[in-house]
Amino acid sequence: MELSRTMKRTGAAALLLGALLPAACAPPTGAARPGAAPGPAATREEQFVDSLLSQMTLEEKAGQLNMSPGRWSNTGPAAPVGGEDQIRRGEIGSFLGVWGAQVTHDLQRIAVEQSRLHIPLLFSFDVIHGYRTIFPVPLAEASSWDPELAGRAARVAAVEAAAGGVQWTFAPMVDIARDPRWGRIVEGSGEDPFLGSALAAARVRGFQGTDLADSLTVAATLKHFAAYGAVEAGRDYNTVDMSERRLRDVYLPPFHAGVCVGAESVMPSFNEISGVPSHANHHLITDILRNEWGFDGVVVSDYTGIMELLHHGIAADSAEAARLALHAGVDVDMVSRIYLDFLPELVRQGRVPQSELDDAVRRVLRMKYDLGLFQDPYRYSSVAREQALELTPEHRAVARRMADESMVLLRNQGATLPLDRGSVHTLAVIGPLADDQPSSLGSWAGAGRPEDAVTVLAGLRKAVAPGTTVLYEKGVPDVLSTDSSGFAAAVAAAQKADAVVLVVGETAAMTGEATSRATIDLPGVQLQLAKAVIATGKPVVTVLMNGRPLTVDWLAEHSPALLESWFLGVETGNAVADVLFGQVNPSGKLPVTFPRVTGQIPIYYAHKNTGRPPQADQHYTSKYLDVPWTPLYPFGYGLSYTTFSYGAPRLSSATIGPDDTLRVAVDVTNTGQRAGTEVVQLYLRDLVGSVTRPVEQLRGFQRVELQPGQTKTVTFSLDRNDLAFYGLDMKRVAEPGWFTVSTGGSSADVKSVNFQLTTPDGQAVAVPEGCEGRS
Amino acid sequence: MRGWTKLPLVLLVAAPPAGCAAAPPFPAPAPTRAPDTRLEARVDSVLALMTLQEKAGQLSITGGRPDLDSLVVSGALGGTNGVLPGKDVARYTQRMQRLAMRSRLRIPLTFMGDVIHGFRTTLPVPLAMAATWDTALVRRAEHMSAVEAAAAGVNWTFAPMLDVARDPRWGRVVESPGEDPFLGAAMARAEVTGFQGDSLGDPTSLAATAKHFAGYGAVEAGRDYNTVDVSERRFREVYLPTFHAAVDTGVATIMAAFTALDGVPATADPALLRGILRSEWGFGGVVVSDYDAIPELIDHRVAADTADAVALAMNAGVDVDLHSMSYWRYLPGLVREGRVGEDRVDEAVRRVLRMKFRLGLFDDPFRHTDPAHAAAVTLTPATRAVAREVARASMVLLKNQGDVLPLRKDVGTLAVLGPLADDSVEVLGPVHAQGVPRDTKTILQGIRERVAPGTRVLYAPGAGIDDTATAGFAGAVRLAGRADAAVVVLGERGMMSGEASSRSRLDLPGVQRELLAAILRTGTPTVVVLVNGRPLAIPWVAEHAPAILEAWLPGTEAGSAVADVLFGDYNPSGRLTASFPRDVGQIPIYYGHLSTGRPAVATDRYTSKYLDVPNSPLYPFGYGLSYTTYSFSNVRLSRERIAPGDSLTATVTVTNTGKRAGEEVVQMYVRDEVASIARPVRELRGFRKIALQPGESKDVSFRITPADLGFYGADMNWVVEPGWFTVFIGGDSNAREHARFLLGGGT
Repeated sequence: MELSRTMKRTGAAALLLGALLPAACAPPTGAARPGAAPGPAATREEQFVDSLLSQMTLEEKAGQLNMSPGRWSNTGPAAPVGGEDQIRRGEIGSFLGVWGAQVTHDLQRIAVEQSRLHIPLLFSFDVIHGYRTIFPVPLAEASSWDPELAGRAARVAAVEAAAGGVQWTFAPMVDIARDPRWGRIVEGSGEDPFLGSALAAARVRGFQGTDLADSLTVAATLKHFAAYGAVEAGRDYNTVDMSERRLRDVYLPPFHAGVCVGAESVMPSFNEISGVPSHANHHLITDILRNEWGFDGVVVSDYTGIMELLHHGIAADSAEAARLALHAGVDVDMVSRIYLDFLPELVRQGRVPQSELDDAVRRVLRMKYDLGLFQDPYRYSSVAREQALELTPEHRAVARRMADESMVLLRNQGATLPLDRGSVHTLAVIGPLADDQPSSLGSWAGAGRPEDAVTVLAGLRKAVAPGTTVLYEKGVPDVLSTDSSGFAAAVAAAQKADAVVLVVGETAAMTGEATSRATIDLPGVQLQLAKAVIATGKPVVTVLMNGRPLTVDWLAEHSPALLESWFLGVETGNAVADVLFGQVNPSGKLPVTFPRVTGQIPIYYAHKNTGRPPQADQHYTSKYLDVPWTPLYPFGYGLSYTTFSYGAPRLSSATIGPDDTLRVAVDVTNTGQRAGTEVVQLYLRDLVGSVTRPVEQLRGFQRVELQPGQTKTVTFSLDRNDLAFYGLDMKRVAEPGWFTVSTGGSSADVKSVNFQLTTPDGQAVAVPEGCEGRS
Repeated sequence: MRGWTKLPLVLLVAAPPAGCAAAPPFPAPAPTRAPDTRLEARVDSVLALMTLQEKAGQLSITGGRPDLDSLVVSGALGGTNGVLPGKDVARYTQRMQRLAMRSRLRIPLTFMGDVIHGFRTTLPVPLAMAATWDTALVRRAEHMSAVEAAAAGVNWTFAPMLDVARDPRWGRVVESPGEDPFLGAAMARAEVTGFQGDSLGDPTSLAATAKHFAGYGAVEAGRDYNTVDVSERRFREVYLPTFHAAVDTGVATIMAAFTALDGVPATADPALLRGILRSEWGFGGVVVSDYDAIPELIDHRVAADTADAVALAMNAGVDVDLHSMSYWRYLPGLVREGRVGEDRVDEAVRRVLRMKFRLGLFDDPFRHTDPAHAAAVTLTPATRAVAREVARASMVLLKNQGDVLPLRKDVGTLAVLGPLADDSVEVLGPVHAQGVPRDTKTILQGIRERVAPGTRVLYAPGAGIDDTATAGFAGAVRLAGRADAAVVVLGERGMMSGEASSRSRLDLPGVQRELLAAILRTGTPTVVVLVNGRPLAIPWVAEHAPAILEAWLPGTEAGSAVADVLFGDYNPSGRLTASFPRDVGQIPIYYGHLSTGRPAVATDRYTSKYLDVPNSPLYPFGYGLSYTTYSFSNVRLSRERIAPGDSLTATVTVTNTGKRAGEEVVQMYVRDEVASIARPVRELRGFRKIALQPGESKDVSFRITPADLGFYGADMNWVVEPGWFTVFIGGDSNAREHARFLLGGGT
């Protein structure tokens, strides 16, 4: 109603047309998806956008591309000082980090009622792993190998965020990361492009739903495009350098997968690749993303990413930075204010083509249209709805299930776990993270509140049998402290207990952006604390809380049980208790390799064979003098309270042609005493290629639930898309020859069989990059 | 003039450049060799006599196998390797050459080996030699190696190793010139000239091999032989210039690297070997595989079998098969099957024959060698003097708090401690050819010889290099306590660096740090002498030891050279050629990094940093102290504005502000302030080692040419872009004195 009145007042026919038509027919979400033919709705959208564009001044256009930062006021997130006037002047197209139904509603009203063209604002926010109901950090969710559930988690986050006035999230982060020094490894899905692609697609679908105009969906952003995870020395924001083949084979697939399922936006990365900063990388954004992949959504800069072109030393001044970024294909300027200040003049001077500006504005307006904002700009900003949908029991239940699935059991000597609830009369809970609510949430916890988090201590207190005494000692004041004066009390508590839960690791603040670590061991004196506690000889379960692989070789050898819990979100303690007491049989598998020492980095399962693959008895092979070449824990690794055995993989055919589908069947048996879920993994190896190929590459996985003694046959399908790679001439091809298919419960524990790809002329077959065959 | 006329005006605001003509970085004058028609005729005349099988034999080198004699006689070999360790090389080469003279065509053999840092007189390891920053000295040193080796009949060395290396975990960093392509290129020219002299025909010359072509230094995780993946721009700007310099200097041969870059093993990379090396650079010499690298194409999984590997290697441009004898076995068949062209084989054989003619082997297969002559020129006082001169010039004084150094010769009682103090084996380093421990003057010996008559020298090792026993601590600590000063010699075994010697940790092995801590607790003024083959991460030592001398692996004259420096007979002048990290987790760390979009600012969390370690290295590239001090002032430029294609001169005044004569390495770095491609924060573009008396000042000038200012642009053409450049001149890569100039006008 508000909008209708406004429109009558302005009499803007085009706006009216655009505002009313979508209400009369299905909103055109997904109309401009790659491969979709433009239908009448799309045409209507185009007409609307063009008409609006034709009324805009250069300044108003630049305003639409300007994303303004929010600020924190006494009452919560708010517009920056003077922001309201900027909205009136049409200088702001979107806000970053302003959320909440009331404040977004109030700001939207200014835009819609008081700006010349009444164009509604977009509200964006880093909803990374939950909005108010905080889920496990993305790396943890990836450990579930359950994209469907990760998608549901994103769905819940979208519902809460949308109810909080947010339409646009800067997630999922889909950077492949093979360097645990890098703090942002916590935000991604680990080291593997196949697993990463599955999770990228699932999360985009979760955030965006099937209908972007649905007021409980948000636009997703694939970030950071591209190769941010390969920063040198694991130092955040640092240089990236790699071949285009590696870029395309390893770092780009999750982005392409996200584009294929319709991600609305993409964010370029802070880093440069081969000297070209992504915010000025025309090849990456325009050639690959838009032209090759057909992406037609919004490219939004990272925070001050355009201004930083000056620091990169490729722009002499802000105007040049604006020109370079816009030309490369960056539509929206997050926070730099450079587009707003310089683009109009650059266009007038002829240094920037008007068409480049118009194209960018068109994409922003289209996104607003697709989100239904021209239909009802307040649809996301209902206070009543916000209260009803935040942190509901249903949302917590999803978070708990996600957390249950995210933990990885690394070690369980003598079946230390699960603890027998009935026989643990005294339980000692020790460690600086045992009762840490902020760390339980993990980094980038959206609108999450520490007080919502159930800590490990709280969860265990609830879960123990009535009458069980729970002793709690921090042991050290905090994870970084070198004060060991609390050891004695911790050891004393352990000695009194029937079982000990030792919670050590990193704080959430040590992970995420700008939190690279050169050493990735347990900080402070936590290892010494662990040694003292484990020396009591009690059954000690070490629960790790951390956002990256850690070098925990001592614990791996000495802690009776070791559970990787990452940062599990609001349901941390409940989920940990579920696993420790056996309510849930752990099923998580590592999505990233754990090194033995920092000096092994980068270490990842899909490495090349090299010309001198390591052999223990051959000095002149690829090894270190001082540490084995193997990781501490390999990719795909994770134990269960039961055991699984695998048959050899069986193939539907020993030879396939380029158009054939190969079916792989493998029998998996639960050989233990408990029901459990196993993540069955399929790896592929191209035995001889025109370029060197990884020793194995994940090409399939399934979670399979098995009762004790039960056997299931798990089947996978492979086709040429699974065999393809960028060959010598940088064309994506599948080459004839022998391949090895391996199946098993981790990348280092598989059984294998070979098959052959034959082609009619014996030549490689082209397998163009497409959305077919993608998750 | 590099296509300057095509530069559009818009370049003045740093727009992407239009195509500028390609020019290499750091170009050296190309050797202008007119085709030698007489030589070509002789080559052709031999080739015409050869069967296909004999051709394959000329392309094969092997050694160390029981049937070697019969292989030689049957013409299956063009040369033998493995002629060095533990052999009487002079007799061996004579005998083998006589066998070759019994083969059907009596084509003489080449004899090659790894003369890396000396033959019998062992020089410091190459990383140390580079630390001299003294190309004339390095040239003399390599010439000395060549004289010794050639006298024993060796005519081909697999050196210099020119892999720029930015990962000290990699063991072969010890063989490299360090992290910088410009310094590496200078060393390449010095070493090639040193080995090859003015002419290969000189009987004291060796054919040199620039290895490992290319990118081997970038092995992932610093693990030897591992995967390499860098962009073409980085490859050309960082990893290729040393090789280009060697080619321009006339290096006779190139060895392909073991590694695969971007998925393509160098041994099977026609774009590298035929494209860049031969077409772009005009290299006409021999390309040799690394040891067994041709069958290793099977392990790389780009070849299905050995025949496949041979076809790939030969077609890619590998002329000679080192060790595997796969060419001998498979080439004739592959030619008959049409999988390898005979013209390709002929081309390779021609290159080998041409080199043999140039070496004079067809004129005298024995190159005037005889065992008596060999004995006369080997391990002489003169060669030892060269080794000593290089060794002391390579040592880098890392710390000298309170002027602990130089020590007085009449110090009273001096404790010489540590597992490497009296070592004669490890100091020779890896791959020490004919060097033998009994020739070594240990550091303890060197010190004993140097102290004043009344000075007592006490010795205890304290601990082993890499064992965990601390039983010896007490003895060492007791001696330290009784002494007026202590010299503690710590470090790595010689074989902890070199091939297949990667380390995941860069600390002092074993309990050496604990030993040092115990010694330091005595309060006796202590000097740490480090013996090692790579940058170490030793922040504790750096903080607690009053004085630290990086001696590297100094070779035969270790003791004399260390004594020269410790007692002030030589004022240390070595400068690091590779950054020393504080922690393994900082790797790769190098001075010529890019600025990034968020360069580190202490007060801004969201900049490129670690939570737990500073960004800066422990010791930066170019760093090294002296017993005197130097000041740099008044950096001035001959012009502050230059037109495209112009050169200019940068001058600095350097003053010895201390009390001793000394040598300083004056270093010039250039920064392109704004470019179409992000450029390093600074790049070395000039250096000169100068001597200064106390109080003396000298002006040092460097010419800056367009070649110093360019880079590979957006389209991978070599470009020089207009705009501001900053020139820094000083004593290390943190040099602060600077001046700016503008290229191409504008504002």
